[in-house]
Amino acid sequence: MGSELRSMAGLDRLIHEPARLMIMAILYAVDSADFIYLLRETGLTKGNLSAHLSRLEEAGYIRIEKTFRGKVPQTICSQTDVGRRAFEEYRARLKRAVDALPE
Amino acid sequence: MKPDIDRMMRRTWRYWYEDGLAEMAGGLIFLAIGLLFLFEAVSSPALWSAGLSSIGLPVVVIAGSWLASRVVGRLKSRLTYPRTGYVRYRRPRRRRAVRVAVSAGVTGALVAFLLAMAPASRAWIPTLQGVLIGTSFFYLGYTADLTRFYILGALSVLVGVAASLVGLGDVSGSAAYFTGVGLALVGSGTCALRAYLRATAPLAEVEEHGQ
Repeated sequence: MGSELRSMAGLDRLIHEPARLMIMAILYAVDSADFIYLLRETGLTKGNLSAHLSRLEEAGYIRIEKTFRGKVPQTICSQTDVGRRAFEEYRARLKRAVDALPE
Repeated sequence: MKPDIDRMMRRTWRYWYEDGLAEMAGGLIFLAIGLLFLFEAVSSPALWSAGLSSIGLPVVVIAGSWLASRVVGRLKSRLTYPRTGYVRYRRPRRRRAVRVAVSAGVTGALVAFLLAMAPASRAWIPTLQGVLIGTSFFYLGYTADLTRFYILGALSVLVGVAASLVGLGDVSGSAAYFTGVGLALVGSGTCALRAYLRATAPLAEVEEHGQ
């Protein structure tokens, strides 16, 4: 049990933060989503969401593309291959650690 | 606040059905199939009516699905995306698509075999349709976590069984089944759309995140 629990120390802290974890989980499930969708699903404020997206983009976990829908600006976010692998690794580590906990 | 990862991921699927547009489009396809069977039931020359369902059904399903995906896409970009955002879904993996195609093929072959062995069982075709389509509604209800699909699933089974028990036969029974379930889908989709439009308003992205 010890080694599994110790693996929690190796969890990706960038993903482990709840707001970023929500963003990563959503983007893992879809091909891409825009800022409005992420805003509604996460319940974050615009500024907060924007800051978390920037951190994930800096880490290379997500890609942000700014386009227009007609005349309306649209920010499209998608997960990169690096981000997908990091999220899969995070989930696997977390699951191992949780499974090792006593009932 | 620790998010439930699996639930968050399932919610993305629910989103596609939240505005009821896909349901309404599906209902219209069902109504077109119902009309096709109805036309076959009332047209007397069996000579060409026999070919009507074998040729017409795939045409209605394929052309209807193609048209529906375009119309739903356009309507979503006008109504849904400005309100609650845009999502582009991943294409299903090839392995999953093959699994679905094989199960559909095996089910179709089994049904054809049973009908060939016992022609009297044709009267139960509407029940079979109700159970098969109802099962897919139940599955959708589970994956998208939407209660109204469980109700539609139960309704599909009930309408199918009722159409068989009334003794309408396979063609008229199928017409009644597809028309009944099509109307239910359009009605349920319309209610979902009304509720969605009432609960949401267009939202614009702002300068806050650097636009």
